[in-house]
Parts: sequence; structure tokens; C-alpha cells
Amino acid sequence: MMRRFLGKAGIYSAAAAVLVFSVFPFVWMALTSFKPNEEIFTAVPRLLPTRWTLAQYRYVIDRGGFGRYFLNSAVIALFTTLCGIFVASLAAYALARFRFPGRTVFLLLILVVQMFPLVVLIIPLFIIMRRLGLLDSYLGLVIAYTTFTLPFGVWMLKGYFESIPSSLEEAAMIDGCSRMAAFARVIVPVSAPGIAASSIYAFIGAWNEFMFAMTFINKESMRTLPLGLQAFFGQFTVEWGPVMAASVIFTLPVLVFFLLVQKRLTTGLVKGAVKG
Amino acid sequence: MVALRVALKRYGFPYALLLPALLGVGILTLYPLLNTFWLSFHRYNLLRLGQAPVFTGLENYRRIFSDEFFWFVLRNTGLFAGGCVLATMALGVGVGCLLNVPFRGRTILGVAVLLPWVIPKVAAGIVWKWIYDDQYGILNFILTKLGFDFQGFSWFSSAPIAFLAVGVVVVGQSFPFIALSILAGLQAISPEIMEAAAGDGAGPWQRFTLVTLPMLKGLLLILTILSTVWDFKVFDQIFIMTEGGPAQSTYVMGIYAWMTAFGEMQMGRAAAIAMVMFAILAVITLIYLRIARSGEGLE
Amino acid sequence: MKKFALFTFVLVLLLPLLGTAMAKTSLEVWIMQPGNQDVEKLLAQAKADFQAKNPEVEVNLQFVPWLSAWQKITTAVAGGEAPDVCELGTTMTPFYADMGALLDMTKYVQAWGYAKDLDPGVLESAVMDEKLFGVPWYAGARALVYRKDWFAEAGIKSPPKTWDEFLAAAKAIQQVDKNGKVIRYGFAFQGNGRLTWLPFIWQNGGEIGYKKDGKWVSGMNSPEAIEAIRFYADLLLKHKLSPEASVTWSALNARQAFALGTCGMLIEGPWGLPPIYNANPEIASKIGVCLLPGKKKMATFVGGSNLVVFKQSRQKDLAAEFVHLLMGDKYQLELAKMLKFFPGRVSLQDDTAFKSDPILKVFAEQMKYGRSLPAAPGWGSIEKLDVPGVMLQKILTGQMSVEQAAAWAAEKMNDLFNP
Repeated sequence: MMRRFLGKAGIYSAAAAVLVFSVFPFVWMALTSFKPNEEIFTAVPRLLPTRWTLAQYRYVIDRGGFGRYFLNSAVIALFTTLCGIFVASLAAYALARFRFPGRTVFLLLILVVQMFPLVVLIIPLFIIMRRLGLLDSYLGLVIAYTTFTLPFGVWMLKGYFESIPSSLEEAAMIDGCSRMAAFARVIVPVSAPGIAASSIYAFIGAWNEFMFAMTFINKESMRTLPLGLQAFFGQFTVEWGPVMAASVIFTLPVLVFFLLVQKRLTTGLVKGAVKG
Repeated sequence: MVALRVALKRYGFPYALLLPALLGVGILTLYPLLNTFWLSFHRYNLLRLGQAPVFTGLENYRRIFSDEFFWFVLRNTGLFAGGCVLATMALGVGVGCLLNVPFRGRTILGVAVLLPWVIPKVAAGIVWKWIYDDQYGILNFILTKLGFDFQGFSWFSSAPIAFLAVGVVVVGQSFPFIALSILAGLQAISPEIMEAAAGDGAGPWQRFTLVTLPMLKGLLLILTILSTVWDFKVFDQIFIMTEGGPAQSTYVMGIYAWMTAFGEMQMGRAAAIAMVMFAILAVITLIYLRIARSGEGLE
Repeated sequence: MKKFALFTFVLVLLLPLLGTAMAKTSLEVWIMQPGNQDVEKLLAQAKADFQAKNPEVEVNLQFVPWLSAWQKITTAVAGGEAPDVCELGTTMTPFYADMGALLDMTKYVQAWGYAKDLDPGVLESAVMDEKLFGVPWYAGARALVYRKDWFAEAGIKSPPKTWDEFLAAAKAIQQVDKNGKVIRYGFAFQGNGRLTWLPFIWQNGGEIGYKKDGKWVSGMNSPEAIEAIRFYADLLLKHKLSPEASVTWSALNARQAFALGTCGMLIEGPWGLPPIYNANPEIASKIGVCLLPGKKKMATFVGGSNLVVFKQSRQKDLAAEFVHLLMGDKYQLELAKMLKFFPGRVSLQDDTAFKSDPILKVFAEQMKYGRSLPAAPGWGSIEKLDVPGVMLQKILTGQMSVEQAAAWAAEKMNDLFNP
């Protein structure tokens, strides 16, 4: 009894510590976003606004453009996630189930590009995008983000597929499925947690990215949210209140996305295992 | 040629599956990587845009290796990245395991853990800088309230403390990714194995080290590689919070490469720095792989 | 299988749709992100005006994220896709001019009749080999901002005119409580704000960099410069007139410290006042402004920016025409009032809006002592690497003596000055 209680207490106190550490900057940001300008900086810091206001949010929305940035970011992030999962799971399946020349080389090759600092890649990348006519387009950013979030997806899913006994698909193939159908019907559902984790990674990667978007996008109508956020960092001043409000707006959709996929993170195997 | 045709016939299916991935990697990364390699043997100043790069052999490398500052920055980077990777992995694995335990409020914790990862980097850097502010920062205020004398304490005037302050931010932004992946990985371990281990009398710690860790080996390998790579290249957080200061004492390779490329405009030398960074990371990765392979390995 | 195939099919179909058609011929105008909605609206209006006059043109007005502007512009130029019209800061202009990326604007400026009307401080940064590579858009200079009420309490009758008076005033307004804790600091020191303290070198008769036999040379290790650097560093190091942490303070930190009553004096331009009033509205009535104190002479740094046209532009005349529009009376005056800078055209600097305001009047007076940083191609690199700032911090953190640090900076600058 006592031991169980101690175990519970341990879990909750650890959870509380993690909670405080990860939530604190966001809470600080959110609280600040409800303060009027003159309360944002005070000689003695104040946690809560004395006068709650939505003025910062109104300012952000009045500036206009945010709806469009939001749409752009959402489209790009969703397509990056879909493309990323599609491409990565095909590759991971090949790597998990087949032995072929160049297998190890491929696994290392996709890691190589991660090892270079972006500064030296950015000019050649810009030139490629320009030649392909992909500046100022969704497609350009989707391709770039998919490529740069690929390694994790491939490695993660490869590990996942390997942990699933091949007897599972073989059984399906005996039942008359083709290999691809067996993969799609048997392997993919069982790997839901891995796919969910990879998709969160791809989604946030695309949602958050600044450097590529800054370099490849010139049109106001094609800007993404991280670029839009820059509107409040001026040459001579920083508009603190709007930065905070815009950041809160920026963060929320990802949480919604997470809530949508988080069930998959934990229930995939249980179902699969029962089926298997 | 014949060999190729045989290989294609025999391995056509897996190659076809790899094709989409190779296409992206091929189009986007091949040219920039080769370009970087080629430039690293040239003198190419962006200020002289009209002039073609001049071949200088190993001059860029010689200049980097003979620069005392480079070795200082490399040491900084090694220590900082090493510390960050250790802390990130430890925290990430811990939180991942925690999230795997069913308890009330688990979803809330899952969402909360995600927050530091989601907040846009520039905004996060600026908010953190403000939290750390010597005069008006909430951190000094809280610490002083708790009875420590942190009034006016400066988090950014000496390198070790500045690294610590930035490290907290870097780890805070990268552990959620590790935690979530570990959580997903843990799901692949069937409860039966755990129950069997428990039946054999293994305690929680033994179950963790003898069952969980070996099963997660492949995942831990890639997560460690990626964390190492990212933390070794860290740029944004330091650029925003310390700008490498005071007196260049918090320079890391990411800043050094940026300053050479877009500060001094020496693209050739920046490419050489990138090649050096790549070589170091490649060696570290191969060492990781070797360690992992000592058990069962990449295959 | 069917689902899977369908999914692939849809994906393949949709991807090309995602790439929107390439833009038709348009005029690319890149302006630094002002962080000020009124300015954004003003420029949107200029765009509308221009399109009304030139219906066949579509102006693509873009506000470039300030923190990454340098990298974005450089990448675009190196990648062969430079904008048509661009705003460049005074320290960036010589850089691109030397690169050969900018169009000589002389004939346009003469045609508009502005040749004699451009702010000399900013103009210095745009002229190279007697060619004009940019048109001064706006200009501004820093002066000394101080707390009138603290001065009165300390019995200071008139604001400081010399270095000695400045030091004495800072010491006089500094206050310590019973426990020895400083409750009011004399000065908001900026360890990370080169533009505020480099003019001390000029004030002492020194030079930051100068041209000798056609080559740029650093003046950092001259006796005049060393004395000036020592004077400034000692404000923090010896006299402790600012919090310890100001070793790394930037303009933003110093501004905050002044706004919230931590520090009593601040070197700041007129554009820095609105954020101060914003953070602490009550301070507005307690602020005074005077010229920066001098030693051998009076001096300040004139900042601002130029409008340039890139050579890569395929419609240079149109681009110049857009610059012409922005240089007209209406946009010059409106912009200056919004940014709290002065118009780039001297004849407009006498506008009553600037003359009637007691605070702006001082800043206008200060402009007369304005100078520009070395208009050398390598100065951009020196700023990016912050050689002066690193030098100062090496002194402040005790790594080097003033002489050693100055020698280090001079060597580094000489290396970068002539790339």
C-alpha cells in the first residue's frame, strides 16, 4: 500500500517538475499577451496583469495578413507531414525487409545533409529553387521540409517495421494480398505510434521553420507564420505585446494537431497485438 | 552494366520503394553538398561577386587549423554540445518513460511537454532572454523571493553561466522530441515481455536496463545521432541570446561558420569550416554505430 | 491496396497544383521591417499610388525580417535574384556598392533636382568613386537623454557639455541606499552598442578608420582613440555608473533600464523615445535632451538608410521612379514623423514639425555634428563581427588592457577593411 502510494507520489512529482519547466515560458508569454503596454515592463516583475486586455490580440489581427499566413503554414505543414510519412514509410519498409547493395550507404547518406551547417547550403539551395521555379511556392517549401525531416522518419519507422514479425504480412499474403497491400493493411496500422511520432516531428518542423521560408518566399501572400511573426520585430523597436500574442496564436494549432494524433501514439500496438 | 541489370532485376522492388526518398535527397542536397566540397578548396569572397572562385588548394583548411580561435570555438562547441546531448537524452528518455505510465493527466503532460518545442525559436529566444534579464527578469525575481540573492545577477556576462543559461533553453526545446519518440518506441514493446520479466523476479530498474533499453537501442541510436548533430550545429539560440559574447567567449561552430560566411563573406573558408564540422560529426556517428553494432548492429 | 493507390494518386495530382504560377513582371521593393504598422500602411499607400500611375506594373512590396535582412539580401544577390528597389542601412550600402551590385543613381538624382538636397551624413555612405549608389531616405542622430528631475535633485543646473561635466553629473545622480546597494545608476552603459560609444573617439579628435594611400586603415590604436575607449570603459569598470550586467547590454536593454528608472542618462536617438514612453508613460514629462558632451570637438554618429536600385534589375527606370516617389515631399515628411527620424532631403529637415518640438529641436541640432562610419567596403564585416564591441568586452571582462585590446581591434580591422 505504502509502496504504491510512494510510486504514485513519485510519478506525480516528476510530472509536476516537467510540467513547470516546459510550461513556464509559455505561461509567461501568454500572461504577457494579456497585459497593456505599460505593464509589460515593470521595475518589479509582475506575474499577472493588473488590467487584463485583449488589445495585443486586436493589434495583431488588425495588422491583417495573419489569416493568410496561417493558411499557408497549415497547407505546407500538412502536405509536408503527408509526403514525409509516405516517402519515409516506403523507404523504411524497403530497409527493414530487404537486404540489397547500398542499403547502409543510403541510411548514412540521408544523415549526411543534416551534418552541414545551413549557412553554406543556403545559397546553392536558393539557386536550385530559382532554376526549378520553386521560389514563392508551396511546393518548394514542402519539398525542402520533407527532405530535411526525412532521416528521422526513415530511421524511426525502419526500427518499427523491424520489430514487427514478418509472419504477420506473410499470413496476409497467403490470404491473397499483394505485398504492398499487406504492408498497407497489416504493417501500417500496427506501426501507428511510430507514424504518429514521425508525423508530429514533420508537422512541427514545417510549422516552425524560418530560414528556408525567409530565403525562398518574397510574396506577402505566400508568407508563413514564422515570417509573419517577424513583423513585430522592427529595425529600431520590438513590439513586445504583439510578439507575445502572435506567438500564442502560433502555438495553438500545433496543440490541436497533437491532440488529434496523440491517441495513435499510445494505442496502436495494443490493437495490433490483439489482432496479431 | 550487366551487373547493374541483374541488381535491378533482383532488387528492383526495394529500389523502387527508395526512389521517392532518393529523388528529394538527390535534387535538393546533392548539388549543395558537392558545391560546398568544391568551394572549400577555393577562395571565394562574396564581395567579389563578379570574380570566379580561385582555386587555392588546402589554403582554407590550413588557415582554419592554424587559427587559435578555431580551436577555442571547437572546444566550446564540444563541451556545450556534449552537455546538451547528455541532458537532452536523459531528460527525454525519463519523460518518455513517464508518459508511458498510465496516470491521470497524462494527456495534459503530453501537451505541456510539446510547448517548448512548438514556440517559434526567435520568439522563444527573446522570451527566455527576457526571463533571464538582470534587472527585470522574472527568474532573478523569483530566486530572490526564494531567499537567494540574485538581484541584478547577470546571466550573460561570463561564458560558463551564459552557456548554462542557453543550454537550459536548448535542452528545453529538444527534449520533447526525444520524449515523444521514446514514448512511441516503448509502445512497440509488448506488455507480455514486461510481464514475463516481472514474473522472473526482475525489479523495475532491471526491467528498464535489461528489457527496455536493449529493445529501444535502434531508436536511441538515431536519437543520439540527431541530437549530437543538432547540438553541434546549434545557432539560433546562441545568436539571439548571447551573439557569441561577451568578447566572443560563447562562440560555437554554428556562429563561427555563419560569421565567416555572412560576416566576412568568405564563402570558401566557410565551406571548409562546414567540411570540418561534417568530418567531425561523421566520425562521431560512425563511433556511435560501432558501439551499437557491438550488440547486433545496423543490420 | 485501393486506398493506398488512391492516396498516392491524389498526392501526385495535387503536388503540381501546389506550386503557383511564377509571378508576372513585377517591381520587387524590399524595405526593412519597421515594426511599426503606420509605416507599413504608408508604404502600402505608396505602392497603390505607384500602381495607379503605372497600371501595367505590379509592385511587390516586402518587409524584410530585420534580424536576417543581411543574409536574405546577400543570398538573393548571389543567387541572381536581387530586388529592384531596396532599403539599405548606411553600413550596408558601401558593401553592396563595392560588390558592384548597385546602380549609379547620379543621373536620376540630377533629373529630380535633389543633387544638392541630400543629407550629407547619410550621403557619405552612398558615394564611392564619385558615383552615387544610393539616395538618403532618412537620417537620425543620437544625443544625450537624461532625467531632468534627478538632475534637479542633485543640484545640477545645466546639462553636461564636456566629458568631465558628464562624468560629474553621472556621479552626482547615482544614489546608494543604507546597505550600500545602488538604487539609481548614473548612466545606461552599453557593452553591446557600438554606435553609442564609437563617437567618443571622434570627440577626442581620433578616427575609427581613415583612408591612407588608397587603403583603409584602422584608427583604433591611436592615442586619441585609446584615451576615448578608456574613458568610456571606465564609466563601468572604474566608476561603476551602470549595473554590472551592462557589459552585455544592447540598445534595448539600456532603453529599458532608462525607462524604468534604473539609470539616469542614456545615449539615444529620437526613434528610441516612443518605446520609452510606451513602457512607462509617466516618464515623458521628466525627460530632457542635450547634445552629446564633447572633448576636443562635438560629434555623433548619423544613422539612417539609403534607397538603392540593384544592377540586376530588369526595369531600372521604373525602379528609380519608385525611389523618386518615396523621395517626394509627402512621403518623406510622413515617414520621418512616423519613424522619428529626419527626412533624407535637407530642405525638408527645416519643416515646422521638427522645429517646434523642443526635444526634436535638440536632435536636429545634434545632426549638425553628425558623421558617418567609414564608408569602406569592409566595414560591413567589421560590424557583423562586431570588432569594436568585442574589443570593449575584452577590456570589460579583464581579458586585455585597453592598449592590448585596441591593438587587437586595429589588426583585425585592417585585415577586414581591405578584403
